[in-house]
This record gives sequence, structure tokens and C-alpha cells, in this order.
Amino acid sequence: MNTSNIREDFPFLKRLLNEKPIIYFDNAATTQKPRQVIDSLTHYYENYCANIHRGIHTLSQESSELYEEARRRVARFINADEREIVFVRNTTEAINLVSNGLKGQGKILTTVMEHHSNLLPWNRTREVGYVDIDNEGRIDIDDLRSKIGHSTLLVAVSHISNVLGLVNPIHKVIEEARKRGALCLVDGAQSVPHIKIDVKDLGCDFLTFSGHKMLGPAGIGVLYIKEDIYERMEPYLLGGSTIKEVHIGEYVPEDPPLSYEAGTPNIEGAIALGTAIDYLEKVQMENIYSHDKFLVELALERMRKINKLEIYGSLDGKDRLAVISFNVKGMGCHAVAKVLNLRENIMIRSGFHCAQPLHDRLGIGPSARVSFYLYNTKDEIEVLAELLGKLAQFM
Amino acid sequence: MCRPAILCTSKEIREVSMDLYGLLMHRFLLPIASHFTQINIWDEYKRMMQAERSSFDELKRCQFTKLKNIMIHAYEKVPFYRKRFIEVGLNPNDIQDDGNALPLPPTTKDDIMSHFPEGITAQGLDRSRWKYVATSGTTRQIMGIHDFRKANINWAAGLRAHKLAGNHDITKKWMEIPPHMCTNICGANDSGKEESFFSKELFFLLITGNLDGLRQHIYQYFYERRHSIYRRVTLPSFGAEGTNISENDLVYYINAIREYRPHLLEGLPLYLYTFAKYLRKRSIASPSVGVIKPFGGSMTSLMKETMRRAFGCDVCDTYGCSEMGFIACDCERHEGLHLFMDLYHIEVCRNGKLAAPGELGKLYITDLENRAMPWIRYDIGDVGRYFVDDHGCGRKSIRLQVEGRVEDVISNSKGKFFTSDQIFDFFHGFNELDNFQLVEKCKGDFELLCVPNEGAHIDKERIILKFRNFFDSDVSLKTYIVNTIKSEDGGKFRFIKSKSFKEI
Repeated sequence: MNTSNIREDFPFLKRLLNEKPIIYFDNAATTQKPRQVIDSLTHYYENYCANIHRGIHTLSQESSELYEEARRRVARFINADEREIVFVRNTTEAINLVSNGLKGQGKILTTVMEHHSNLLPWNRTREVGYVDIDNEGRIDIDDLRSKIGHSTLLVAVSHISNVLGLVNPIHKVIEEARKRGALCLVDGAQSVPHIKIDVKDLGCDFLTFSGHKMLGPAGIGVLYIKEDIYERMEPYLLGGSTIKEVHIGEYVPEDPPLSYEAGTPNIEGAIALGTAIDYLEKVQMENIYSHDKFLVELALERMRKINKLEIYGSLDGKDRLAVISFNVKGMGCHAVAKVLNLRENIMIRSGFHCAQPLHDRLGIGPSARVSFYLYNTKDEIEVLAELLGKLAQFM
Repeated sequence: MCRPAILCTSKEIREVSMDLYGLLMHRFLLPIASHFTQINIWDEYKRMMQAERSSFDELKRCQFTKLKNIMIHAYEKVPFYRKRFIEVGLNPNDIQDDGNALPLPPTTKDDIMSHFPEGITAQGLDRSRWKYVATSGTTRQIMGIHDFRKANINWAAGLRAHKLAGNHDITKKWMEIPPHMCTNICGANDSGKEESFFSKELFFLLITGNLDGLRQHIYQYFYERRHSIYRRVTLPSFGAEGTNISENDLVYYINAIREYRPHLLEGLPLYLYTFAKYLRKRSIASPSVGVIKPFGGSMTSLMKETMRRAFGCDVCDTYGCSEMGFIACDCERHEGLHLFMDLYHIEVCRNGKLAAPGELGKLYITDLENRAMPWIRYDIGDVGRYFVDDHGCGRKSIRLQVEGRVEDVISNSKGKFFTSDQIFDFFHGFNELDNFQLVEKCKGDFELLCVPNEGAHIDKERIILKFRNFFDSDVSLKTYIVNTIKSEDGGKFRFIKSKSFKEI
């Protein structure tokens, strides 16, 4: 994998602020877009713009084909069947769809480390239990075993924590869920962009992820639903596209996945997500994984040497991928983010990262977070480490 | 039937306990804590109150001496300022008190942030008791550092401002309604955990007999709990609803104030003004409040008068910022805020030169006491006027009238400036308008968002005509009816958004 060549594809890297390049370390929030994805959107608007499905005219048919082709690309990307791919806006919507559409009673088991998107939708509709983590942020599998029972309907767990960057033992979690007859939803928002995912190998029932965190545009996301689980689901939004026929007082629902895509979807978003996946596949997910792993281990190594820098979660690079949250003792995380921004154009995130319960569990306030992706470099991490060292030394 | 004399009402019991709390705090706890932790705030406070009785000439002399000292200190110790001085060919020893603006470029927020920390702080000083401070906004956050002495001076200046403007002191009940929308979910206040007193650190300090460390431990413990000591309670902000919250929410706030009976009620001016309007509109008896003080925004004269009438108490104003502390405060005449000349030097500048008394200009502030991180000619982003005449209140310091943010100033085709305060009072002069926002899209082209009063009809033509008479006959104004005016990211409101803002 040639990072220099990859960087050439990203127009934002050519932008200078105060005559310096931008160092973008906020990839867990959203990634930058390569020229190919940007062009894909423009190409759609310039050539195919039309509403999809049921249109007789050429543009509608072309547009429909591109949209369905995108679905096939997504399916191939995670080794699923195209019928198992539902386009949604983002991970949050995907989880809400499952929360509202999954039939049957039973408890939902999630963990204290989850993003609010994997907590709040369950809280609203279901009885929820929370699996604890150890002091280094790892899922406590014994606690999971003790809490999962025959009344558990579903276990909902993130594959990678968006705060700690720890890769959860997702196979183990799914195995435990299956043993007790529970379904399993994997929040893949932070893993799908970095790891080659095979849903058949994972054995999960649901997988959710967002296009904008993997080079695609915002407003397009994916919900994978294992085909035989559709029987246990019902659409929670009805309207255009979700039906085969409608009469006053009755309707015949469309087959999945269209029955879960009410209204005009984000057509261009889906097409551009397909282009983003092409890009990732061309670079190869194995290479991206190795690159991101190298960066996070390097950053950890440098940051661990800085006194007064408090890193959250396991310090073992093997446990992590792409994300590190930390605080400089004596200095607020927002101040750290602002100083990094103004001094070296380093863009990082600060706050609770939509995971306030995790911060509560760790007994900490808000934190600063750096997150890496395929266009980031070793040199950029050296700049970060040097400036963090200066700040920490000063405070 | 007469109640037996020995029995007290709950109100009396509350008042007696409040007096006892005050006595205990003033006479015993605070002096002991002050002595042990070496914070010296009481001595500073007394010195400051003495300074308030100085003549104008004495204040000027003291101010200039301190100004020169801090400039020399910045030149010698702070890389950023040293470079600045050298760039303009200025030796701080040569600075004269000649009535001109200081011959150094203003220090902007970006200057501070892009040199923070080592480039903008004094080198070679003991940093062990430096305290980091930051504003709590989410978008324009700026941070500073105070050394131990400056932190204590700030503390004392706070007591001074509260005492002089509103007769509030440390033991009286205090209620605040800050504007921050994002405090909880974004952790925008950077709040850390309150450390336990009986910690491992305390044990270690006792074992090792580290008296300085023990002092710091105690100081930190009480500093983290200062709100409880101050009997200060905080109500949530209006949040994302904007200016016009539901009547239920308004009742919640009024009831909370009524129940707590604060001596000091502080809040974003718009919040307090909204409560005042509501009390008057519904003819509701006002809650018991000793004094009202706005913070986090500019209070116009119309707001002040409305609050005074609705709450039936004095409305006082102070001026300051998180990065520096209290800078000025009101007196009972309410004719501008008296600058703390022993602590700050302020220039009101127009086109880079000192403005005449009463003339509108930008405020540049020099903190005379922060040696850890000097703020010299800091461009705080506000506009205002200054007055040097003795208006007879007994305090001889210059007075400031702060009139809003510089980016909210608009000018007409003749070049006359209108501050956000002036525009606010103009639009709130319309009975049918509850709230508004004026957006200048480009020079001379405005949009006006109008929130009508309950049941009121907005006569757009009349508003346009009056605005043209008031501001400029040659402007375009489109009006739109809305339900609320949304706040900015940090929770504060901008009622005038100027797109054509130019340097004043």
C-alpha cells in the first residue's frame, strides 16, 4: 500500500491553513473523501439523476440499476447476499430500525462502552441490561455470560469502541449469544472501515455501519439483516417503495430489503458508497488494517512516553485499532483540541464522543480523541506526539 | 391567636441560620482557610476596596506603573511579546503615559491560541501553582493561565464586584442560569471529577510531612467545592429551544427562583429579560430576589428597566471574562461600569487611535496582574465607550459602557455605527414584537426574523418604515415571522448578525 499515492487521491490534503497542511485525525467521526467518490456524485447528478424503481424512462432505469449495483457491491464487501442489505441513513438509523422492527419480547443486552446510538434506541422500547468492562476497557465476558439468559432477545455490541479503539472479542460475544438462543447485532461503524468483515464467518444476525466513516458520503448507511431473520422483523416505516399494492384499508408489502426502505432513498449516496467500497477493495482491506494498526501502535508508543498524558483503555497496541482517547493532565480536552488545531492544523475530537456512560464508567470527564485512516502518515503522528509532548511538559 | 414569641417562622429560621452561616464563614472558617492555604484573598480584597477610594490621579499613577511593569515583564519573559516589541521597535521602558494608544499591535485570540502554552507564557517562573483557565464556549474557546497570586486576585476581584454592585457577599444565596447548551453532552465545561479529601494523596502528604503539598490539597478541595461554599445553585439553560420557551418552562424557572429566594440572580440577559416580560405580561407577583445581574452577554437599558420593574429589585452589571476575571462593575448610579484601574488598563480605540470619551470604539484590555501569561492589548471583541467625568458616586475610576460584540455592529450608508444594544432596544420598542433577529446579508440588505407577541399582528410595512427612519432610508428589509430565535452553538444569542462588519 502506497500512502503517498493514496494521498494524491484526496483533494482535502492539498488545502493549506496558515500555509501548513491539514493533519486530519478525526476519522472516527467522519473520513475525508477521495476524488473518485466526489466524481461519482457529480457523475450521477450530471448523467443519471432520476428517482429509482417503477420508472419507465431511461434515466429512472439507469438510476435504479446503479442503486442496485451499489447494493450488490456492499453485499460482496461483507460477504452477504444483496437481499440482506438495507440502505439506511447511518448506523444510528440502522439500530433504530432493528429496535423498532424486531418482533418478540425479551431483554436486550448491550455494554457500558457503547455509542449512544447503541444504547438509547434500546432503552426506549425494551428492557435493557448492560455488560460491564474491565478497567482497561475490555468487555467482561464473564459478566456477559452471567447476564445473558434464555429471556435475552438480542445482544447488541460494538465491534470496536469509538472511544477506546479496542477491538472487542466479537466472535466470543456472538458465540455466547447463540448458545443462549439470542440474536446478535454488531455495531460495525468503527470496524467495517478498517477490517475485512465476513458476516458469514462472524455469524451475526445484524451488522450496521455508516458510509461517511469509510470514504463515502454522509447520509448513507447499511443495515445487514441475515435473510432468515426477516421473518422476525416488520418494517417500521411505511410508504412509497415498501409495498407491492395498496387499496383503501389494506396493502401488500414489498419483499425485503425494499420493504425497509420507505420513501425515496439516498440514491446518489448509495452509488457513491459503492464507489468508496471499490476504492477500499482496490487498496485492499488487509493493507488498510495493517496500515491503521501500524499507526495506532506507533502513536501509542509515542504517547505512552509523554508524562502527564493519560491514555484510556488498554495500552497494548494489539488490542486496538485506529482510535486513542486521552487527556493531558491539567488541561481540558477542548483546549488540547484547540491548541493542536491552531498550532499544527491537527484536527481531533474532544468531548464524550457520544459515549458518556463509558466515560462515567471509567470515572473520567470528557476526553480528547485521535483516530487514523489510510491516508494518515507516520510523520503526522510524529508532529502530534511532539506537540502533545510540549503541552504535557508545560502543564 | 398570638404565636408564642419564642417560636419562629420558617422564614425567620432561614434568616437566622443564614446570619449564623455568614458569621461562621466570615469570622472563622474563611480566615482560617485563608491563613492556612496562603490564599490571601481577604488582604487583596481589603486593598482593592481601599483602591476604590483613591483619587483619579492616584489610580492613573498606580495603573501606569503596573502597566509599565507588566510590559517590561512580558518583553523580558514572554517570547510572543518580545517578538512583537522587537517587530515594532519598541522598548517597554520607553512607554509614556501620553494619552495615545499603546504602540503595540492588539493581541488576538488566535495569537494566544497559536502560541499557547510555551510561546505566550512567562519563562523561568515557578509553574507549580499555575492554574489553567478556559472559557466554556464550544466554538471560540480560549484558554489562559493564572499564577497563584493572579488566581487569588481574581477571587478577591469577584468579591469586590459582587459587593460593590449589588451588595452580594460570599454567604448570601446565589442562583445562576448560564447559557451553555452543550455543557453535558459535549462535556464543554471540561469538568473534572471532584477529588475526595481523604485520598491517597492526603495520606502520602501527611506521611511525608509535605506542608506545601497539604496546603495545595486543601486549597484544591475547597476550590472544587466553591459553589457549595458560595451557596450557588445553577439552573439549566434554555437549551436548543431558542428565545421563546414554553410557558411551562417559564413557570419552572419562576418557581425555582421563588423557592430558592436568591440574593443574587445571575443569568444570560435574554433569560432574565424573558422572565421579566413574562412576570409583567401575566401580572405575576415577582419572586424574592435581592439583586439581578446579567452575565454572558450585553444588557441593554431597556432590558435593565424591564427587569427592575418586574422583579422590584436593583439590577446591577459587571464586566469581565473567564480568561481575565472581573474587570469593571456598576455603582448605584448605573451610569457605566467603573473599571478596576488597579487591575486593568483599557483602551477604547477607533481606527487604531484612542477614542474620545463617549465615542464608540473597540476595547483592548491589558491585565496588569497576570505575570504567568500576560495579556497585553487583548482584543476581547467587544465595543463600548468610556467616560472620565466624576459623576459623584464617590468612585473616581473611569467608567465603561460596553455595548455588545464588535462583529454585531452595523453601519449605515453615511458610516454611522449602530451597536447591537441600540438595535435591540429599537426593535423591542415595538409592542407587537416579542423577539427578533436582524441579519445583514450584505451591505444595506437585511432580513428580519420576528417573533410576535401572543396574539399580536405584525405590521411589516410599519416596521420597515420605522427601521428606515431609524437606520438608513436606503436599505432593503425583508421580514419573516418565526416562533423563536435560535441561539448560537455556545447557547448565547446574537440578535444582530452583521455580514458587512468592518474594523471600527
